[in-house]
Amino acid sequence: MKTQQLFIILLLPALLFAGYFSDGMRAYKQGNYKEAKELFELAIEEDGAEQAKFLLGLLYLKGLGVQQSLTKAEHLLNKAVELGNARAKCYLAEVYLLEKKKQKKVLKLLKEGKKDGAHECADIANHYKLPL
Amino acid sequence: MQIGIRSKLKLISLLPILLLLGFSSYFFYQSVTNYQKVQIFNRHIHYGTVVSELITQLAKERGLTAIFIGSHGRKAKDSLKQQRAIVNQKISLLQQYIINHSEIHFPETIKNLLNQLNRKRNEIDSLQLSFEKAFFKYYTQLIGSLLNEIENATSIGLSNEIINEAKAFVNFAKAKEASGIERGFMSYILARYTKMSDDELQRWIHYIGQADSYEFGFLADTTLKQKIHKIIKNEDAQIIFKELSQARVEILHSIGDGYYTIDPTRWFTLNTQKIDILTNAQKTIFTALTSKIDQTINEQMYIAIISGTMWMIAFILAIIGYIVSQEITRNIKRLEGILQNVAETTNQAIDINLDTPEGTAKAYALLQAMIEESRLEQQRAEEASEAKSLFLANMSHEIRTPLNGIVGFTELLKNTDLQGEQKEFVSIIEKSSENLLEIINNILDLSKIESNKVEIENIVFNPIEEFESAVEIYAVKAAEKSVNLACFIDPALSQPVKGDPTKIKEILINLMSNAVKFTNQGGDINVEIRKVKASAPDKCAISFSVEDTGIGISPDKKEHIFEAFSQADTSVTRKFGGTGLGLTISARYAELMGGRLDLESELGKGTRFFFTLEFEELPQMNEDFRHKFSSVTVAMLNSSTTKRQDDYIKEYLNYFGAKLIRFNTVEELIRLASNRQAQSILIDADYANDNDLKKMGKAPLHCNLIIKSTHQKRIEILRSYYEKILYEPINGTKILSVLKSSSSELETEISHSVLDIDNIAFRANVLVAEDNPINQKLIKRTLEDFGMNVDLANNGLEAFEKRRNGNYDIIFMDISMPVMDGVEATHEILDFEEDEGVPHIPIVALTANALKGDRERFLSEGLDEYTTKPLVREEIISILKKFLSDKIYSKQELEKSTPLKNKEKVENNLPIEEEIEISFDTIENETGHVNYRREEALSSPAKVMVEASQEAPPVMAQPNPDQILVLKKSGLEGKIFVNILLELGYKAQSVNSIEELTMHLDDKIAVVFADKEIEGLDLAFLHNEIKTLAPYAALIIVRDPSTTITDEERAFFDETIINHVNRDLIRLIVEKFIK
Repeated sequence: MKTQQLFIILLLPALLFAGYFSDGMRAYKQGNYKEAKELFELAIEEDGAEQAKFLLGLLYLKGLGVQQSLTKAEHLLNKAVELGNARAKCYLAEVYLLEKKKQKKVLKLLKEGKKDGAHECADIANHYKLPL
Repeated sequence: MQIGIRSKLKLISLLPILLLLGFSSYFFYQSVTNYQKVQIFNRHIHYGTVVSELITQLAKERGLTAIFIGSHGRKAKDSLKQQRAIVNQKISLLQQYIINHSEIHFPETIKNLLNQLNRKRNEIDSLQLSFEKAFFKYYTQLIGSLLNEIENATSIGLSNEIINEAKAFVNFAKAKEASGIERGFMSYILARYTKMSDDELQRWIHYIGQADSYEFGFLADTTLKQKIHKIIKNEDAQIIFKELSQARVEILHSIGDGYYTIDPTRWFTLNTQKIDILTNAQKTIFTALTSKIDQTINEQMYIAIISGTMWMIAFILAIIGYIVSQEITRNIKRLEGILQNVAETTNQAIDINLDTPEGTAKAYALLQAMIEESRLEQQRAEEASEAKSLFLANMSHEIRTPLNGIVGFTELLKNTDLQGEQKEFVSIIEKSSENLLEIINNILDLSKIESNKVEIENIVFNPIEEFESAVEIYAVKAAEKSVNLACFIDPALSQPVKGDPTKIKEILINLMSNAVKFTNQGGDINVEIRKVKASAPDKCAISFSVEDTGIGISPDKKEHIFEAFSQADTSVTRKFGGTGLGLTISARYAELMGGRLDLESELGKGTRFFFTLEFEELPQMNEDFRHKFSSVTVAMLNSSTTKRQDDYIKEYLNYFGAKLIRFNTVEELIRLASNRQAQSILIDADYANDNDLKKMGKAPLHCNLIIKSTHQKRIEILRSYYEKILYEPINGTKILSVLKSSSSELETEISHSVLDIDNIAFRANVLVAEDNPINQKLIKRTLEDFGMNVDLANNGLEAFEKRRNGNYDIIFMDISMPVMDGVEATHEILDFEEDEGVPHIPIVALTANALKGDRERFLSEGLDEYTTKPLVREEIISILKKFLSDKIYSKQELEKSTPLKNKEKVENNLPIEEEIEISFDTIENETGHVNYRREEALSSPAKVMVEASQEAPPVMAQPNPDQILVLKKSGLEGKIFVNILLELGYKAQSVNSIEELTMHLDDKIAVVFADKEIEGLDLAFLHNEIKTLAPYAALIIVRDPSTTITDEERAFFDETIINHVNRDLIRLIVEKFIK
């Protein structure tokens, strides 16, 4: 019955959810990082979208569509971690690793993130050869 | 098993009431229970709302707690604090409610969970509790159990409608709860922003299902349904729902990478909006539900009140019914007792028990028997009464025979030489025996009336003649008592009428007898008989009135005066004597003749009895003297005292057309006479003394004196001075005689043109066809009186022959004749006249009895006119005038030499003509002045109205018949009869048998008296014997009052009298036939 309901939901007209965040997400997933960045910024400004900060932070961390800025990324990702975003913990840890500061916090963040179900933490730990 | 009647009665009277009581009790109970149920439900709903509010706030706390945990205590700290305060408030409200409503069993599990709340909150604050444990394991569990509590509380509804609404309410609450869970859970996921585990996904999908299942289609209340529909399906709500489902789709699409395209804030807002909508709908349902509950409460309350009232009424009725049934039972018991008594009195050993059908049947049978019995008794009583009547009649009859002896011999004894007291004694004996006889006769009459044996006759009679003779009977008695008897008999009653003269006369005599009895000396008795307006033109209504100035009758006695054996006062009976039956008999007679005897009376002033009868009037013409004497003037002596009689005389004179002038003194009278202003004078002897009367009598006019017949001495003195002595009461005939004597004088003096009825004659030949020799003689004599030549034929054939051979001016044709009857002979004559072309001779039919329609029948047969036998003089004149107008002449024309004083004699065409001078003194007889002409032996006396002044003794060649034969059933009575007759100066002889009677019959016999009751009497035979042996004899039948005479019998004799030995009566009747 539950699968049936899922099926019904999926069959609903595939209208796209309106809103800057959602549009930003779609642009991000298509690789239009520049457009995504702008939409995320608008989402934060206009809608107060919480997760837009995480994704904007991610763009600054990776330097996708923007000049890489660890400071900006750290700020934004911190906000996302406050919200409870598990992935943000992993990427904030990466920011700290790249900035080579707050070593203790990095490990804690990675552990928490992994615990909350973010596989990125394990990848990052592997990449930086950190034991979790 | 038999149910007794009483039990049945109770059952019938109480069962419906008990049923009503039962039903009303049921409804009352039902409504009270329902009311209680609703009240409980109402409380549950309130409890539910309290719980529901707590749930709402707890859900919010849960949501905030989720954010708090998700952000590791970094977010929503303040909001959570505020929300927790609100929740605490709600919890305390709930606790308060539970304390106030002790009947609510708050589940221990929920209590425990609520008690854990503060501990859990502390754990959350110190982030010791995972999302999973806080969100699902604690909050959701708590809210779930609270929801169950609501569901349980509202599941016990009373009507489906309410239950459904409550269900809808719970449904929305659940959907809301699921939505809350979805909101919180997914916010957590979206905030975490990692891929969902399979468990999480399953859980989410589970809650999506619950969050969207807010079913309300089953609601019965359509308006409520529409309201909810409006809330859920309006545009704004639809947008929210659409966006929510889009958001779900977006989330599902990004399940694979965990990069959700929906922002948690947005998600939270959307879900909150949805929950608000659901809350709104839930509130709407709740409002409807509470109003419905209120309504139900009211309804149940009304039902309870109504059914309670009904119950009260039914209860009262039941009590009344019980009392009534008790009463009926008592009544039946009493009836039973009475019936038992009846049964005992009729000596029937019946045990009456009305409680069983057999007993009731017995009771009915008993009653039936009683009714039968009483009917039999009534019948026996009637028979006894009838036997009594019969006995009474027989006894009266038997008593009368010896009584007649007493009366008769007393009569004789009275006239012997009696001394002193003896005379008085004898008169007492006479009066007593007459009273006794009267009483017995009355009793007999009454018994006849009561046994319906009285028959009303319908015979033709001359009203004036009959009524005058009736009044005349009491003239002497009234005069003896010095009572003024005045009489007015309407002269307009000139035509004969059909009726029962005997009965009418009896009533009149009775009333007059009473009047005389109860009126003192000097009083008045006025008898008025007037023609009044009748209901039909051929009818004649006559009103009779007898008025006296007697003692009168008090109003309370009036009602009973006509009842038998009830004279006005018993003291009256003692004083005046009599049985008082007279009025009863009179009233019954009047009733039988279609009238009603009535009276008006004033105590001490007098009484007036009156009645009106209707008769058939015959078209036969009697001479009406209305306005015939306009040339006559009558002078009357005035007096200071007035008598009613004066008024009557005036009225009579008015009718006859005569003028009336009054005078006061002798001188005035002389002046009148010398100026010839009057032809006649009338003087009442009461108004003047003898000397004046003598003077007045000498006036050279027709002087008439009115006097009471008892004033013999005065009559003797005055007789020689007056032309006529008129006895009171004056009536039309007496006035007429006065007028005639005056007018005839006038005619000779002034004019001869007016043909006087007495002098009219016809020069004509007449043929009379008549088989009966006596009738032949009578008709011949009558017609010869008119100066006609009469030829006789013995039958129709002979008449026809004579008509063919002779020349006649008129034919009188008897209808029933041997050989050829009158009708046939008429046909023959008419045929002959037609064949030969000779002029028609008028034919007048003669019949013995006039039946209705006879005239029309005879006229249609070709006869010209019709008359009945015996011939009435006036009628013959009118017929002769009609047909022989050219043959009229006056007899006076032939008698020019006749002196003035002697003109009142009859002109006879008999072989021996003789002129007889008659003095006025001899004309009047003592009892009145209606004189009957004794015609030659007639089968019935010719009822010819003859004026006294014209009276002349029959002058014939035959010896004057003057002997009387008396045949009575008892020799004793015969002897009395003969003695009375001898005393009256007649020659009389008694015979003992019919054979002896026939032996004595010869042409000297004038009258034969015979008792009707003689054994072996054959009236027809006797009639024939008399006619053949004694052609001049009249047969007078003497009968008992109880004996009836038929019409056939009536043809065989001339007169009938009641067997009542009365001197005056006998004299009257004999004078009728012997002059």
